[in-house]
Amino acid sequence: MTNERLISAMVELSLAKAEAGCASLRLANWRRMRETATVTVRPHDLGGRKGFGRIEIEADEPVYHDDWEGGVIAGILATIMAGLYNVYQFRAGIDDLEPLSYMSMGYYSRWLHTLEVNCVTAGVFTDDELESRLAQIAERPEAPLPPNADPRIAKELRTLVGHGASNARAVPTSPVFEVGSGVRGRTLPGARHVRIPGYAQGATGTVDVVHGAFVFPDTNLRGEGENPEYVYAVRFGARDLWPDGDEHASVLVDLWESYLEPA
Amino acid sequence: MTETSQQTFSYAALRARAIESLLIEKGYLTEEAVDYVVSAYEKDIGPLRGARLVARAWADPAFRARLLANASEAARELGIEGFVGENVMAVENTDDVHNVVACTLCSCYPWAILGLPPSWYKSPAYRARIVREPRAVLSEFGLELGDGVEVRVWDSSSDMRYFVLPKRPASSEGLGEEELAGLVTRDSMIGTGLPSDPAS
Repeated sequence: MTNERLISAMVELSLAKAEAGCASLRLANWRRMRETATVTVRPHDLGGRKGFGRIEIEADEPVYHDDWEGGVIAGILATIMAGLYNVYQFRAGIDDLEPLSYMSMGYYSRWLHTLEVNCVTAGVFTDDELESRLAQIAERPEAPLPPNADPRIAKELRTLVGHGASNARAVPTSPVFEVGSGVRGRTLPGARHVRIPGYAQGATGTVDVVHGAFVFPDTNLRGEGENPEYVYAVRFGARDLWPDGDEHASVLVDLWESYLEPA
Repeated sequence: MTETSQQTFSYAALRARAIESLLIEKGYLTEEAVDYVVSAYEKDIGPLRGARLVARAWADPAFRARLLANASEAARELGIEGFVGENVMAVENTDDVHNVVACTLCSCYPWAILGLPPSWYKSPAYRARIVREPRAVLSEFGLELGDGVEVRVWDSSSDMRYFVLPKRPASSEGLGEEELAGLVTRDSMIGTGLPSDPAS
């Protein structure tokens, strides 16, 4: 078995999935949309996009569909726990995908991709090391994994999974907005990783809940510090977001303070 | 998919194993740690946790008030806490309001309360459509809401995680907490379903 065969298998799989699911996101359309957009356009920002069919619901779905998925979750938790990168960089590794890749890779393959990208960026291993290890494993997939029995890693993961680690932070300031405040989502064309969906950018809504302050993703992504800010659940009428939006529905989305301006 | 002499491995499976192998070699991961995480989300951390919270809220009005005020704190009373459960808000269904939870940007979900999300929750179709045409989506799940019911879709875009406190079935009177928990489905806590009706 050669890498070439592996790659062609991957491409076949990607094309099959792409054909099945993403007719509305053809690459040419995508590029045009990004060039002319007045709001952030990213492949993962799917709220309100048209062209998707029925939702596939799997009855009695298992927790995992493939043996390797749980290992990817463990690898991501362990490497974030070790401080190699943070959860915002984890997400950005997925959000940076071109749309065709994003739509065709499948959920845990995207996680595998961002794990790889972040480990290479952090210097855990190089691309060459990974390709060489992949070639060895492709030859002998059932060869044992390297020995490492350090009990601290599982112990620390038990603590993280069992008790969590909050991104809420105490701040000395008061929230700028209060329940009932009219607010507008700022428009952020060209932003890389932001947590305000495109549909809320430029839209007017009302503060429904004042949450506490949380680590701000945009600066933390770039390694520029936590800069915690208040987060608000802002309520938008679905009809105000989309001309064919449900008349008797609202969308509540959590927005950091600097994503908002008074309306 | 690629054939080997023993077994078939997908490209993703091989690549995942290569990365796992390097992480173990470099001292960031162990097989024990992988086994723990795999088993924790398969066996221990799942929707039964959320069902216990809902059943307690149905049975005990004071607990219900604490759950709605701060779900993470209330959950700790029942020993429920963990990764992606640090900041959770419960949103309550009433005769006039039906809540449903989504994450249009990725797949944010209250892991510590409901476990790992189902595939449909992470699917582009659900993420794209639930905010714009929630009634049509809920109808695909078999849930028909009257025109008078307001739908509130919670798009989990921050560190807050949401789950739905569904309405207690009218025919569940007299049931104990454990029996009540048995009525609470995962989808009823996401908002794409209702609790089972003991009368049917």
